[in-house]
Amino acid sequence: MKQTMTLKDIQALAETARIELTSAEKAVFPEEISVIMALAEVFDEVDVGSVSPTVYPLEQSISMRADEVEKSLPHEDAVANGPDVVDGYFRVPRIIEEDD
Amino acid sequence: MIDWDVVIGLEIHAELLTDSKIFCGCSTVFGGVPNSQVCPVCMGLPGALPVLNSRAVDLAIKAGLALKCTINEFSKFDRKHYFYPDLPKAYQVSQDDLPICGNGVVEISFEGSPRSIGIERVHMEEEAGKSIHAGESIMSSAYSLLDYNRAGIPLIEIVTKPDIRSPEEARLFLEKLKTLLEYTEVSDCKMEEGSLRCDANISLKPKGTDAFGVKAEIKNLNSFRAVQRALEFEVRRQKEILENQGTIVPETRHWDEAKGMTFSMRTKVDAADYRYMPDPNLYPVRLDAAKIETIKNSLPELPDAKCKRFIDEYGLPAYDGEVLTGSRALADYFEKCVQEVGDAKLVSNWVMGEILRWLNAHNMQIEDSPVGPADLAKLVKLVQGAEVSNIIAKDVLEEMFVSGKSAEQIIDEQGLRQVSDAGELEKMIDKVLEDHPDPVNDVKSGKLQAVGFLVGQVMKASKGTANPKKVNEIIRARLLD
Amino acid sequence: MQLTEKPIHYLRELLHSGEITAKQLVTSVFERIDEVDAQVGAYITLNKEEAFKAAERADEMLKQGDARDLLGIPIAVKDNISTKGLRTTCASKVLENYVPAFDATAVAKLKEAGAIIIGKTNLDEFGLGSSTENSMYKATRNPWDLSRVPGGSSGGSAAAVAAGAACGALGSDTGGSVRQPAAFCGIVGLKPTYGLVSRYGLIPAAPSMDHIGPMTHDVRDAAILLQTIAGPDGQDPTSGRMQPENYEAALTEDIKSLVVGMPAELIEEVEDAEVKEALFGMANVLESLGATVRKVSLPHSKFAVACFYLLAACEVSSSLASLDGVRLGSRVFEAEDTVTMFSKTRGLMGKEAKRRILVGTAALSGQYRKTHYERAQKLRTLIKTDLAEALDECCVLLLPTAPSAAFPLGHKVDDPVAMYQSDVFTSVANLAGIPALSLPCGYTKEGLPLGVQILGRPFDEVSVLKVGHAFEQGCSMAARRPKLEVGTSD
Repeated sequence: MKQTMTLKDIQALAETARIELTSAEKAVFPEEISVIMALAEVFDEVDVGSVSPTVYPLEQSISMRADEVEKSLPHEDAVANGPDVVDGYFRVPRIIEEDD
Repeated sequence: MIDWDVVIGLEIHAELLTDSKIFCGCSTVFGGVPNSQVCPVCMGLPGALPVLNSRAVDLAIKAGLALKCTINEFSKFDRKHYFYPDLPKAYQVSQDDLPICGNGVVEISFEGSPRSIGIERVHMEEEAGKSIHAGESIMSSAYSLLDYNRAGIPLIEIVTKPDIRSPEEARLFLEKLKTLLEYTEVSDCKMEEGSLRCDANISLKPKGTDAFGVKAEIKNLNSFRAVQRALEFEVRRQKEILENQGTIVPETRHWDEAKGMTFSMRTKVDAADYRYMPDPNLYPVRLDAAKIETIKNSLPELPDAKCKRFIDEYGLPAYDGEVLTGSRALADYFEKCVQEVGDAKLVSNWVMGEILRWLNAHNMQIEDSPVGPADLAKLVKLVQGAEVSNIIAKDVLEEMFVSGKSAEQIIDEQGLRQVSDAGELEKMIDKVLEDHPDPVNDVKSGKLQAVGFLVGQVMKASKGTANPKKVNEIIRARLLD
Repeated sequence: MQLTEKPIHYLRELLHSGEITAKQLVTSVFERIDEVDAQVGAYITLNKEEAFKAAERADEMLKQGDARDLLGIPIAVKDNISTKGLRTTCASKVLENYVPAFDATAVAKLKEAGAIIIGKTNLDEFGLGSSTENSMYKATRNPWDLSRVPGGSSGGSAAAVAAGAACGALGSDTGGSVRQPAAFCGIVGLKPTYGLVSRYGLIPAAPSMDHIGPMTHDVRDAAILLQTIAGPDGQDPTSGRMQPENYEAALTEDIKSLVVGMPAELIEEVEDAEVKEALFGMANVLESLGATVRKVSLPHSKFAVACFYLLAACEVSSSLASLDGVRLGSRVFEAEDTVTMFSKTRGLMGKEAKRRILVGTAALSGQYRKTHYERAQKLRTLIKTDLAEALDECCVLLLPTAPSAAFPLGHKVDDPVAMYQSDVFTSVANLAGIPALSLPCGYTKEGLPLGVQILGRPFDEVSVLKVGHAFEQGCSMAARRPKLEVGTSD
């Protein structure tokens, strides 16, 4: 199951992950990420057909909270870290995709 | 010309009626100052962790039970990944392959016959924030503004099976669904506040064939009427393409209410890959049968059962039963009034007639009616006891709506109490008989229709307060004996 | 030995008895930082002003006889653990100006116990790395040999403690990030059981494997810090439900007839003779103290690195998605639309973070989902089961912490897979959520520290610490400190 990642594959992943790559990264990532993805080849050695997957290291049932309103962050604190805040809103440039 | 089968499936999002958000204690109250009902959890600040609201789970179970679903004793939360500025974590916590409820059914009646619409699943998820666009549309705005007050409000998504066969049936289904969610107090279903939203999938196939056609998904449906209109448009559009040997492309289409048309938003090349992943921060939800049973027992009487009871217990016509159980508040209103008055059909006529007419004309819900069931009961009892005439009672009700005064008060203030006292009536009748000798003679000579004229004159003279039955009796006795 | 190089339990006595004041201690720590940190580079942000204010408050309380455990003790915090009002960068440019509005629960508990937060320590960006070379601010150097890495990702915390520039520290451990730098820097590091210490406020890398843990001079100090920060937390849904024990008090018990397991397959992987020697040396010490040492098998341990790495990458790609430049942190403004803004802003991340995000994105999608993500989840089950079975037979397991002592800076930066192999002995504990303590167990000929790990059953920190403490008492490793040549530049 040798898979090789091309630059095109890497660019598609970067687009999905919304992450711009430098030209240096573009030069090495296809090879490096191919090698990393190939780590999974070792899994071929073991039959996991009937094994159930693990998501949580120590599985419990979910613990829940009661439906009680607690104090929110003061508005000033909520927006204090915003890089572009206008009238108490976080501002973003043009949205060019549709919402889901 | 081929006949076509219309195949419609709906996806409905309903906000759950909790006080706090699904994973944090921020308030869900509508309309706060932007970014004032937020905290590290619902803003997706790094390091904050979600803690599940138990009431959200209870409400999702309630919804499932009302939709006759199987409640899954094991369900889990998954992250659905996509980037959008209103989605604080860049993933939505949702339920992918193991939702909390599956496989239900909603019964509706369409053109007089019963229809069953299958429910594929009901799952829990979190609401996104709100973006406000500076220009006319998203695309034409140079920037948008984000408010996360709504982010993290608990939602259920209800997905129907592709069982709906016409746009009208889609609307009827939604009305029934809304009734069920309101009855169970799962959601307030306010489409105008976005607490109920609907997307529709629609395709056509030649009548009687099995294979589904290519479907379009329709968004931006802001009312039940819009759902029906958009689907009607879409049926015409798809028919025209198919009958001209065209092909339908799988796409998302946007309903434009003003133009009455749907427009293509984007073509779905591949199904979006959301890279679902079980949320490692949220352990699975395990429910035991006892818990589900407890919630089941807490369910109120649902509309179908209530309608049947109204027909059986109160002897109402089926139509009255359906209208009066159209909302839990209306049914409660009706029943409270019946308790006082006794005569169910009389109350039904008043509620379905005068009360709903006035509320509709004023664009109000029964919950907001200025005239409560006890107020109405007092008025109807006055009619029953012949204290006020039926016609005057309608005017009194109008006045009750406007002024907020009680029926008694209005009647007393305006002297509207029905006069049944023989002595008082005799005086009025004397005067009328004296003033109208010709009709008196007519009656005496056997032209009995003139009695009606004379009664009318007495009513006029009494400003409607005379008891017409008594007046009639007295005139007949006086002239015909 | 410098005052600031002394263990917390020793300083605690001096503070409680009034022999020193918190102000003196904090002053000494900042003096030491001034002396050494230009070379070591342990800190990203110092909290000097607040620390002195806290010292004054601590001295007031000490005067009134307040005897809480950490009153007046200067503690450093890894810079991916949120501190209210104190910049928290994750060593990333994306969070360069991020000032949290809340304390991590572990930090809040430290403060409650009287500890003084002196600063935020360097790390591999977002905790992704094993050498602290992936910091977007600077490399941290190993106080034992400035040409070598301190390990990672909690390299700043490890180096700070080793250099006497903090009396103890919090680190975080996703695949070995507390234990491996502890081993490289000759200190003690504990990754507690998953859920014992709240993760609230720990900026996540891989939430199913992330842990906060103490990094200290000796095992007793680790026990003291652990009992301060452990316990159920309503803000962490994966928090365990049991109350923490008095770990310090448990250290007095002996380890006679306690069964210690040596995982054969993993130990066969050890190539470095000095590492092997130190490990078996420790086993001998434990035996001499009355423990029974035996071989155990972890048949699927060879899959641990691939399993850990792929699963962690998937979770990392998800966790870091929220850093989009909208609500917090940096933003690249030269963008006309949000998609470009997201990409450019997230493009500020370093190479390793990007590499893991891309790997995780790939492993969760399309054709790779089954072969990578889903199979790794299943392998995780097998690895967990192996450990559970081994820990059924044994009370604790022994493993080296790292395949070698600290390696030179720049040595593995261009070979990510070789770097990931540094996690071979540590990542199993993260996959299974079990407690694992690293403590010094020997030194190389060059005088570099070597570490060994003690792994235990879930929530059995008592046994892990007890064995570590017994070993520590049986030799004199804990007393050694690096000889930093103060004031010389490299």
